[in-house]
Formats: sequence, structure tokens, C-alpha cells
Amino acid sequence: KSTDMQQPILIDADSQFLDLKTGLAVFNDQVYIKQGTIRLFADKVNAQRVTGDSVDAGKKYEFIDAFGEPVKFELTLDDGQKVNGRAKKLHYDVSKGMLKLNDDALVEHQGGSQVESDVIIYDIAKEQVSAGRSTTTLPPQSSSKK
Amino acid sequence: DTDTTSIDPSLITSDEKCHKQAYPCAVAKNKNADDINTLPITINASSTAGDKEKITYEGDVIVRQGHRTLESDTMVLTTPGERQVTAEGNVIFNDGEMLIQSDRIQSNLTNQDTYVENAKYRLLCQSGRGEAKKVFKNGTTFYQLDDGTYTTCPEENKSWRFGAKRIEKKDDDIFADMYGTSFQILNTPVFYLPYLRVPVEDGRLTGFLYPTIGFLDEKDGISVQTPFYWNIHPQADMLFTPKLMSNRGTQLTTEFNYLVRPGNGSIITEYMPEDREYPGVEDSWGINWRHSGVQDHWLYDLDYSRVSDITYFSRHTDSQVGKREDSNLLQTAEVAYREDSWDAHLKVRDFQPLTKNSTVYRLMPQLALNYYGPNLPGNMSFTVPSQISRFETDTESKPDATRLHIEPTLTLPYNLPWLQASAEAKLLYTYYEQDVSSTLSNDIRSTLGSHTTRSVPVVRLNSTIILEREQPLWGTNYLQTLEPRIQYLYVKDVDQSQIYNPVSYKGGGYDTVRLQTDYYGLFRTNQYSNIDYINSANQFTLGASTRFYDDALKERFNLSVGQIFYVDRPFGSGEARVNYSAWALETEINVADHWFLKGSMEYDNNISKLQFANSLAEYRNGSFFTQASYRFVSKDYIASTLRNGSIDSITEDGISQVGLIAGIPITDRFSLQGQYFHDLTQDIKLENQVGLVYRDACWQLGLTYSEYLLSRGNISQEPKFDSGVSLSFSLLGLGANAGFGFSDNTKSALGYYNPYGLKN
Amino acid sequence: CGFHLKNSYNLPEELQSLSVTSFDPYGPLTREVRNQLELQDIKLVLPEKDIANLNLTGESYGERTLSLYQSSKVAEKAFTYTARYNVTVPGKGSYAFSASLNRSYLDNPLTALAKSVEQDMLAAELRTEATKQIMRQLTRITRYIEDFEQQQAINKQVEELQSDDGTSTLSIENRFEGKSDQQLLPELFKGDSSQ
Repeated sequence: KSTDMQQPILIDADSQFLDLKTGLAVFNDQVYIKQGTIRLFADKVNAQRVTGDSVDAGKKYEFIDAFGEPVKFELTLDDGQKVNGRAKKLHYDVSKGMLKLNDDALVEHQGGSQVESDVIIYDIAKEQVSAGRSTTTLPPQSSSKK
Repeated sequence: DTDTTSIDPSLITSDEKCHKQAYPCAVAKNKNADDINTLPITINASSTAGDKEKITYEGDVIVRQGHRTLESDTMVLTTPGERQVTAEGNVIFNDGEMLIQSDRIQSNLTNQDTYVENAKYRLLCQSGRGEAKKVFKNGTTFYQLDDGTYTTCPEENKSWRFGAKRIEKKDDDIFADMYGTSFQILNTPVFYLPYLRVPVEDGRLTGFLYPTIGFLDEKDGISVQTPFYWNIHPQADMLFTPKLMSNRGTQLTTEFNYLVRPGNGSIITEYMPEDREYPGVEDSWGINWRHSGVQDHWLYDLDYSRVSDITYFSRHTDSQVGKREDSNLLQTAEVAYREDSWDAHLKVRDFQPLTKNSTVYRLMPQLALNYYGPNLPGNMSFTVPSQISRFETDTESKPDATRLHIEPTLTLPYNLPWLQASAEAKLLYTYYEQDVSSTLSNDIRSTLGSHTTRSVPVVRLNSTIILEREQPLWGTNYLQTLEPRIQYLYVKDVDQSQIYNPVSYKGGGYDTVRLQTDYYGLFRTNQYSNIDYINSANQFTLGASTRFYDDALKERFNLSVGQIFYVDRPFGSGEARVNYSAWALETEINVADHWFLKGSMEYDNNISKLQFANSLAEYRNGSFFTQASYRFVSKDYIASTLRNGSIDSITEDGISQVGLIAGIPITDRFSLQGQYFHDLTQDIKLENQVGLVYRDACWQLGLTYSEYLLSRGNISQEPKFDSGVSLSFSLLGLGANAGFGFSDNTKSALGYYNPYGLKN
Repeated sequence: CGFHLKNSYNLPEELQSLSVTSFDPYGPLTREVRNQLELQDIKLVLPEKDIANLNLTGESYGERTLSLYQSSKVAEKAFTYTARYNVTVPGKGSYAFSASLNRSYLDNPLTALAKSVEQDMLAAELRTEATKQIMRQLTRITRYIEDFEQQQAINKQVEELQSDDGTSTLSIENRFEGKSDQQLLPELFKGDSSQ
């Protein structure tokens, strides 16, 4: 949902390691991330906290890099419909609310179209998908008989 | 008039792209289009962007669903509920049946409705292409083109096309309907038609609408004939063919074809209200109804023709109801019920005579009952054919009669690989009830029996021995057979003078006439077509055949010779005492499926005269063929066979006729076809016809000059000929049978004859 | 001069028992064909999967004017009879044939009924003659089946040849010892080249 952006990002993992100097947190094995309706599951996550003198420094994440075989994510749109996707690598630019999926990327609107490509960019606020060379698949519909 | 704006070529993608990828016809094998709609749709593109309601694709966009594809530069997909796709730029739509190129296509992927603007289309499963300002395709059942054109000519060939306000084609129909149509040659409208039906697939659409124009015809003047086709129902269609003749007026021919459970048939009607060439004639009409059908045990057969008057065919020489040289129109109907061991046939047969003083018998009716006994030991069989016939005639000088006939027959066949033998014994019992009325001539009334019976025992012993040998000839190892055949026939001589038969009474015989004796006739039990006269016999027939089979055991040559030897020829049969008949010969040869020869002859060495002889030679190679024929029948042989008075009015010295037919391809576009028949007895031309056919990629022009001898009452008059030139133009590719070869002009009586038994 | 009595109907083994089906099961053509087959010791059985079948697909009559008197009226007419059938040998292919015969006769305008009865009689005679021609044509199936089997044998050998992957110890040379290449090659690929 568009309100997800304001929600806190909670990350749970079997093991984690925080480098206070750089603000980089590294999570390993069964990493779950939750932000509002957004769910993310990966094998390994690098979460970079906001640094420098901004007001959120140390409290919010600037971006999250997730790796997995594959990384999976799921979120709910304003109208309640679900979107899910997966990729080998996922870069979440938290401030811009942009998910960048790399390598065997796939984004699927529940019951709707499914887009596959090498690179897919999903804008959470605008609920928009964009990709380079891609293949979209529309599942068969019970066609309204003429 | 339609103003089909010419489509700006730059808008349309270049043809190379279209032709580079071959777009094969991919009509879904099973016509059930639903399963195509249940297939997933995939869209490939160089770039994609959008949300769940609207996605935009750019760069080599290809949408696929089963074998259907839609290609374009850009595309917008709206997905909630009905998936709507709008493609623009170099758009190519292909559903396996039709290929559409345009600059903009909107298609609903759910119910397959598709709208196209400024389209260029091509049918993939048949020849046919064109352009259209708007194309609407609803789902999979219906194409509609507005302000469109249609032609079967290849790209860049502007020979002809149809322009139409609207063109409609239902999915599996074999034709398309056009409204507000103009026929255009080199893109200039030539004539306008409010409605037109065009066949786009092969199938039953016969005789499509190609106008035949005839000119320089002495009788018709200039004539235009344009059939209109109406496909009423899958089981019935109709063809209206108005023929406008400048010298005479208008004749309408309709042909109605139908298919029902008890069989199929056709009804042809021809009608001409008034004829300026024959002012005295009002309402000249002709009808022909043919039906034939087998429905398990039942059999139906009908062939009824009737015309308004005797001279109908001399006025309408191209009538489909009959031919100008026919002497009678057949009107016959039969219903039969058949079982394994018996069958029953109820038949009526009448004629409409086409010669003034003709005396024609009617069969009103005939009931035939045949019994086939079970196979007795040793394959012996017992059959009992029988029939009851009622003969009537309007001619006062000939009797009406009822005839009952029964023919119990015992046959014992005996077969071995080298022997085909059979012994046959039968009794022919016939009872006549003949109306001996006062109108008959005295000598007929004096001998004709009002109630008379006749029973004739017949014995026939027949055996053929088959000998074989290897016979290498010109490099092929032929198998040659020699088949000597001997038959002994005994038919008791009985007095038949009380029966109105063709031998005792001149012009006699209800349904019996003397048969022509060729090789196969030598072995017949009776030399007459039916039992009003049974010729007695005590004779041997000797015959021999030889055949050559090639290494694939295909028969390539046969020759048969035979002759009858009379043991004692009873006195008083009206012919000079002879002790052997004429000998007859039949032969045929097929050399490498290119050369065909066939011939037969009969020579009577009692009177050392050739009775008849005919030969036929043909060479065929691809589309080149030529056939030469010669036919001879001696005058007294004709007189002895017809036996009805003088034949001097129809022939001077019998038949001696030579014929030549040829079809020669000159170039890959031009072919010459011609036929010429000449009568040697009077050295006059009987018929000749020469046709030049020009065949382009999508149309064909045939120019035919034909000439034939007009019938004349007295053959010593000067022969007069009717001649005419006809130009027939046809559009090719409109359904397989819309294009035609050399149209067998119905005016010619004689023509190509294909009697070969060894052709396959 | 080398002639000897014909020693066999030389019909192929597969046709010794046969089922006959027809477009007109109770018609005269079906009746005559069945009689002729039985006379040649062929066992007629009901249609079955692995039994050869002779299917009579149709018969047709035709008429054609051959010559004209000098009065331009019809002199000779030709009467044509054609019977069409096909023979299916299970596993050995299906073969279509047609037997056609012609008779010419003198037309006679005054005896129309007799001439039409003559045509019916000619039809019956030609049907009997056509049945004999059908029996002669059936012998051709012997050669068709031989060709079919030979083609199958060649296809099988070529398949085996191609499927020899590296692992099999047999190489082409020793696999066909004792047979000279000349004798083998034409045999092996005769089928393909002649197609």
C-alpha cells in the first residue's frame, strides 16, 4: 500500500552483524523483512543505514540488497490485490520506494499479468512495473463466450 | 461508386518484411476455436512499463496465443476484466487464416474482437488479398471489411480486383459476400454489382460467376451469360444464369442441387418467354430432374426430361436438358427394394419423341422380381429372374400388350487357376396379352395372338483355359497369357410369329431390338435386347484372348478374336444359310502410360464385307494430349441392325468418320485446343472447334471458334453449318474449380472420348 | 512355345480371407464381386481389424456420342461403366483401383424403349466384365506388398545403421563381413535412390 513507505522496516534473521562505523548491517540465513504489507524473504541481506548528518541517520535504512535462490517479495496494493515477485538479486531503494530486481526477475499481479525479464523495476508508490527486454504472460481467462 | 482511397504505401510495412517470414496457413485442425482462447497469451517486447491496469510495450512487440500472433512497434495492454490491446506502427496480425498489415490494430484478447484501420490483408489458406479502410473481426466467426478490395492476383499484379463498400466472410464459409461492388480492371471500375458472392475456398461452389461472352454467332448475335450462385443451405444450392442474346432476347436457366437422406439430385429449368429469332414461338421451356440414391435396402433412381416442343434443341443448342442430336428425351423412374436372396424393382419409362413420325413404346409399369437361391453344393446356384411389363403406345398401327416372363436358371460354375468353366440350363417362359385392335394392319392382325405363350429351353456350356508364359520384350519381363474360350449354346427353335417381334413384323418388338455383335456379343445367349424375340441357336463360339502383364503385373496389352460356328442353321430365319458368323476383334494397348491405342472390328467372310471397324490412338504427356479416331460402319450392317425401313434419309453410304483432337501448351501462358470431325462418305465437315486459352496468374481468357453441321431432313440437300465465336473470361484462384480448362462447349456433339480400360 | 497352365491365382497370402464392404451392400456389383471371389477360393468374412478389406466405393455410367449420320443425328453411342474400389491390407497399406469398360452401339430413334433396355443390358454385361477385370487387378497387390515390405526392410536397415553410436563394438566393416560392398550398397540404398 502507499502507506507502507512510512512503516518501519523490521528484519529478522538467524544471524546478523552490524558495522557501526559504516552503518552496514549484514543478515544471513532465512532473512525475513517486513515493512507494512511488504514481505521479503532472502538468503542474505546487506542493509545500509542512513549515514551522515541527516535527521534519520542511524535510525532508517537507505537501501537494502537481498540475495537468494531466489529472493521473494510480496506486497498488497491499495485495492487489496497482491503483487509478488522474485529475482536472484533485489535492490530496495527505501527512500525512493523502488525495488530493482536482477537476474531471472519476475513480477506478477495476482490473477493478472506476469512480467519476466533480466531487470525489472517496481515503483511501490506508483504501483508501476518497468523492464527492458521482457516477456509478459497473461494466464488464460474464461473468455466471455460471444 | 466506391472511391477506394489508395492507401499511402509508406504507412504499410514493406512487403519484404511480410514475405521474409513465410506465413503458413494454420487453420486450427479442429474447428473448436475455444481451446485457442484458453491458451495463455505471451507478450515479448524490448521494453515494458506500466501498472496492473495498463502496460505499455515498445520495440519489436510480439503477442502470441496458440498460433495467433500480433506484431507491432508499440502496444498498450489494459488488463482489468476484458484485456484490450492497441498496437501501432508496422502492425502484422496473423490468425492462421488471414494476415492483416496495418498501422493500427485494436484487439480484445478475451473475445477476440479486432478492429483494424487502413489494412492490407492476405488470405493464408487460399489465394486472395486486398486492402480495406476498416476491418472488423468478431471473435473467430466473422470477418467484415469496409471500403475494401479483393483479388487473387499476386502482389503488384493489377489485372483485376473487386472493390466493395463491405465484404463479409463467415469463418468456415467457402465464400465471401460483397455489397456495393465494382469489378475493376487496372483499378478502374468496369461494371457495378449491388451484391456479389465470391468463392474463397474450394468446395461445392460450382459454376461461379465468370461471365461467358459470345459474339459473331449467326443465331444468337452477341450473348452474355452470367451465373449467380446462391448457397441456400449446406445441403442445397441454386444457380441462376440469365443469358442475354442481342438477336433473340433473354433466356433464364436455373439449376437447383440438393442432398437429402434418400440420395441427391439436381433440377434444371430453362425458360425463354419470347424469341425474336423465332417469332412464332412463345414460352420456350425445358426441364430435367435427375435423382439417384441408395438408402440401405432401398434404391431410388429418376431421370425426367421434357421440353416445350420438338424443335426446342435446334433453337437452344447449348441446352443442359438434352443434346441437339438426341432423338428422344428419356423419362424414367425406378424404386427398388433389395435383400440378399431377392430383390424387387418397380420401373416406369416414357419418352418425349423429338422426331415427328416417331412410334415410341412406353413401359407403364414394369415390376421385376428376382430370386437368388442359396449356394448349393459345388457352388451350383439357382436363380429365378422374372418380370411383368405393360407396353403402351399412341401409334394406332402398333399393339399395346402385357407381358409376363419367368426364367428359372440353374448354373454350375467350376473354377481352377487355369480353368473358368460353367454349365447353365434355363427355361424362358413368356405369356403375352396383346390388344389385337381393328386399327392394326391386316397382315399383323392375321398372325398376332391376343393370348399367346412361349417357352424356350436353353443350354449353355462355357469354358476358358488360361495358359501363361514369361515373355521378355524390349527389356521388360512380361507375363503373357493365352486364354482360348469355347462355348456351346443350344436354344430351341419355337414359333414366335404370334408375338409382335422385330423379326416377324417390320418395326416390331416392344422393348426388343437386334444387338450389335462385337467380340463380347458373340458369347451372348440372345442376340436381341430382350425377350420379344429369342433367336434359336445350335452353335459353337470359339474365341481367344491374349494379355501382356508388365513386371508390376499391370495389364499393358490385350487382343481378343472370336467367331460363331453354326451346327445347323434352321431354315426360315430370314438370313441366307451360313455356317459361321462374322468374326470379331477387340484390342487395346497402353505403352508407358503415354501412348494409348484401342480398336475393334467385325468382318463377315460370308459376304466378305467389313461390317464395322473403329480405332482410337492417343498420346498424352503432361498437359499436351492428342487423340486421333476413325469409325466405320457399313450401310447394310446399319440397315440389318435398325430394321425399320429405308435409312437413305439419314445416311448415304454408312459411317466413315475421322476425328482429331489436340491440346497443345504453346507457352507457359498460351495453350491451343482444337477438335475436327469429318465425314468421308460425303466428304463434309461434321464439327470443328478451335480454342486459344491465355492463362495469367489470376485470370484466364478463352477464345473459341466452333462450327457444326445443322441437322437436315434430306441428306442430298446442301449441308448448312452453324458457327460462332465465344469469348470466356474467368477469374482464377477463386476456389479450385472456378478456374477451368478448355470448356467443353455443349454445342459440340462429338469430342474427347476416353474408353481406355488399361489406363490405371 | 513355353506356355503352361496357370498354376495359381497368384493372389497375395494376405487376401486369402477378405471382408467385402460396399457403397451399395445389396446392389448387383457387390453380389457379383462376392461370387467371383468365392469362385477363386477366397474366404469372405465379416470386417475385422487384422483381416484385409475390399471396399467398393462406387460405380458410374456414362454415355457419349461417337459418330453422326450425315443428317447430323446420332449414329453410334458409347456406353461407359466404371467401378471404383480400394483394397486395404492391414499393416501393408491401402491401394485404390478402378475398372472401366466401354461398349458402342447404334442408336435408333424409332425404338427408344428397346434402346434404353439395351443400355440396361449392356450395363449388366459390363458389370460382369468389370468384376473379371477386378479379379485380374487384385494380382497387382502381390507386387505392391512386395515393394511395401522391401521399402520397410530398407528403412529398418538404415535406421539401424544410423543408430549405431560409438559404444557398439561393431563397426560397419565387420558388421557386414562376407558381403562385398557392391552387392550390399545397391541393396541397402536401392529403395531411397529409386524413390
